[in-house]
Amino acid sequence: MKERRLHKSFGDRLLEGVLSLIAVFIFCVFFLLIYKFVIGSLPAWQHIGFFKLVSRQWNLVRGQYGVLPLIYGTFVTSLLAVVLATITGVALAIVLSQYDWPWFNRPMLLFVDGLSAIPSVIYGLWGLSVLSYFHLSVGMYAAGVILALMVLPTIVSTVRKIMNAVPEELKQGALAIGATKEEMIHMVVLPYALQGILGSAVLGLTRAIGETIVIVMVLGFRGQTLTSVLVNDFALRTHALVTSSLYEVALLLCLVAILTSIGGRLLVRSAKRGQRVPL
Amino acid sequence: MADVVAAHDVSAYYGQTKVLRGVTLEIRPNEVTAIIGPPGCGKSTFVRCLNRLLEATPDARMTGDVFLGEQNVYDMSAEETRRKIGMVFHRPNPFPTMTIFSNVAAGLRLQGLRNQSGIADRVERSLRSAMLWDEVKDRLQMPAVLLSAAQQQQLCIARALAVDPSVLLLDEPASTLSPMATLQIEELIEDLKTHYTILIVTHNLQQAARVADKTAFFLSGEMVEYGKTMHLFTTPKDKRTEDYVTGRFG
Amino acid sequence: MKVQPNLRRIKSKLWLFLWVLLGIVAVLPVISMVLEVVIRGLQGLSPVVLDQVSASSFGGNLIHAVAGTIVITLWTAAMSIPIALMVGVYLAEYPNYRFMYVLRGLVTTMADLPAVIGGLFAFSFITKHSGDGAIMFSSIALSFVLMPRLIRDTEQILRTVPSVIREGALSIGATKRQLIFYVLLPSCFRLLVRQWLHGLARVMGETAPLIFTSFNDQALTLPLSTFTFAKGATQGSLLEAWGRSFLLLIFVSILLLVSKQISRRVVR
Repeated sequence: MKERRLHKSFGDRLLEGVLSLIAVFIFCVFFLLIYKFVIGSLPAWQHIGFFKLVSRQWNLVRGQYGVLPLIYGTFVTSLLAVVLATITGVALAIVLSQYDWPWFNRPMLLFVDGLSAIPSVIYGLWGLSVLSYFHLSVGMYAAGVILALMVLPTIVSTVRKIMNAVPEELKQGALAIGATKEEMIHMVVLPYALQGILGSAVLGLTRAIGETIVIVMVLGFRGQTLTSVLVNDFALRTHALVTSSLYEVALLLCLVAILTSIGGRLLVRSAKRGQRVPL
Repeated sequence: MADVVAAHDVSAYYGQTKVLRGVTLEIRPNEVTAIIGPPGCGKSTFVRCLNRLLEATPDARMTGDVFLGEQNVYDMSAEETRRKIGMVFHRPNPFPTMTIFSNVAAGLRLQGLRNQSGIADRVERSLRSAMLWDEVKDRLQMPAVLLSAAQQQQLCIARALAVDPSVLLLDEPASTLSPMATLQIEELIEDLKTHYTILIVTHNLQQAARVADKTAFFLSGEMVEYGKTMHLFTTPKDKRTEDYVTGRFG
Repeated sequence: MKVQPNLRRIKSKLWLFLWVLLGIVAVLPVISMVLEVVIRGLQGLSPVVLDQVSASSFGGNLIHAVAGTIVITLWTAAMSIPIALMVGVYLAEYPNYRFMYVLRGLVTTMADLPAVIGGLFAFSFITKHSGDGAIMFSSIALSFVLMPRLIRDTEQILRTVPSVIREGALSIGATKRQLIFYVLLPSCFRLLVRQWLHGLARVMGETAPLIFTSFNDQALTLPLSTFTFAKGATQGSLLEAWGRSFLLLIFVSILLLVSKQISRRVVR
């Protein structure tokens, strides 16, 4: 039996060839990134070794290379941000998706859009100004709260989409047994969206971990994170091993970001896919 | 100059699933042939084998031969095959960014035709054949998506006719149209068969009975029965055909 | 043991009240932010202050930062849009290969990488730490940030074109090239432009990557000089920072408003 296969003209093959070359280029960029960072951080690896790396002090001038405080700083600020943003974001997403109140929803959507449009350096500047207004000091909590604002749009838009997709039958089923609208939301909408909420929280975490300039501005020297240290210590690059240890931190940062990114995407994707099943 | 289209032992697969099992069918010129059958019986896949559109579906492949007149369509390029065997789809699909005129002219321009008056001529002729000319001649530069659904479908027929095919495949052309619009399309089909070989896929038995000279009944990827429409509907030879046309299943 | 119906109703309303309250609290800062940027920004841009700036050289002058922002954004667009378009088309229109899965995953992951990584990556190519090159390396850094996002968006936009449109083009004898260039790209051109403007508005405000590629020009772009002035933390330098952030917000808003206008036409 003759197999009939796609026959392509020369021009089509040429186009496909060019496109796949460009696609391969994307791979090269990524591997070049890893390669550059690994090569760049080699001196630090050789000099520092594993135990100094996991020690508790980071001070490049004094030759202390412990990344634990950086990881601690990143996780405290990002987790605080994500927890705050998830609580408020889910509340907002519930109202936006389940209540048809144009007078409330339209301005809210506009504000959420605004939050995602404002450049991060303005968040930082605003944060400093608010802190000085209330005579508060810079630090982890301040950084976490401002990061929460930046993460909020990600969470609201993802969760809202998932909540919009809750099958009408499920909702009506709950209402039919006498639940109030709010009880129905607790019974049906929230459990349905739970996985998506988790996923969007992890995606928000990715965003919070990667945020740099706000941390630099609002955290001050009350701590360091994996990102802020890159900016703050870049000025010291004439010292030995500084550039190299910054590459090392960057590698670590990439690793953390890749892990949370994959985790979040998988959760959100399967949550979206899961929606189609009950229909 | 309508041509015979002949499928020889055509099978088709999506991934590992075999959806067409060795269909052999000859479609005569200047007649309307209908393919009927329940959803998922492979009728849409079959017409996509005829104009080699199946190749554009990821993961799909086919075996067997298709002849257009004397010529094996696999000796031509896929593009040439699709020009000679035009197709109209279950849902009107005018190109959304183009005007009425450029929709009909699209196929000609794709072939590299640059002669403006020649293109205008062909567009007018195609729109006349699709019985749409009188309605749109004053607004040819209007976006095609502003037409009514039935008009959009007629436009798609005109678009297919513009590249001068000898065969027209209609894949449930009226399934999204109102009853009135459906009648209009059916009249058009009746008219077109004097110049073309026409194959229409339909899930609507009345429609097959109204427009088709011959009818083929497909079930689970096989062609169960093929014959004059009247015979197939009144005195089917196969039990399964009888069950289907009398409404016992499907 | 039945809960009183009234109690249930009150509890429900309390929940609703809580959700609304949390929602409002979450977005209120945006109002404060915009107001403050506008009010203080206008003060910061007043002529008197501008005169003082030219006297103090430490933050660099305003025109320099504005020009830098525009030039770098244009270069970033020129580098990332063509490549993103091609890879996006490749992902959407040449499916069915295992390579695609890997590529799509890689692009998504790269889009989620912190922007600061792009800066350090571009920095790793700098061999000579003097002279000119800030514009080029900054654009490379921002392209690294923008390109993966654009690729993802391009693919998603192309996938919204219904398959009947593709089949329609093929059925009148279009080749794959013609399908892509005459039918698919024109039919989603507006959406693509919208996505480009959106992406550019995003990277225009990026600050962190540029710290590595600015060749010590602390006023290379508006966000960078905002940052520089903010670090100064004196009354005068903060006012400068507000002025710059106001201009930055104007630029970003223009791009976003234009892109919104484009998308509104699409809906029609």
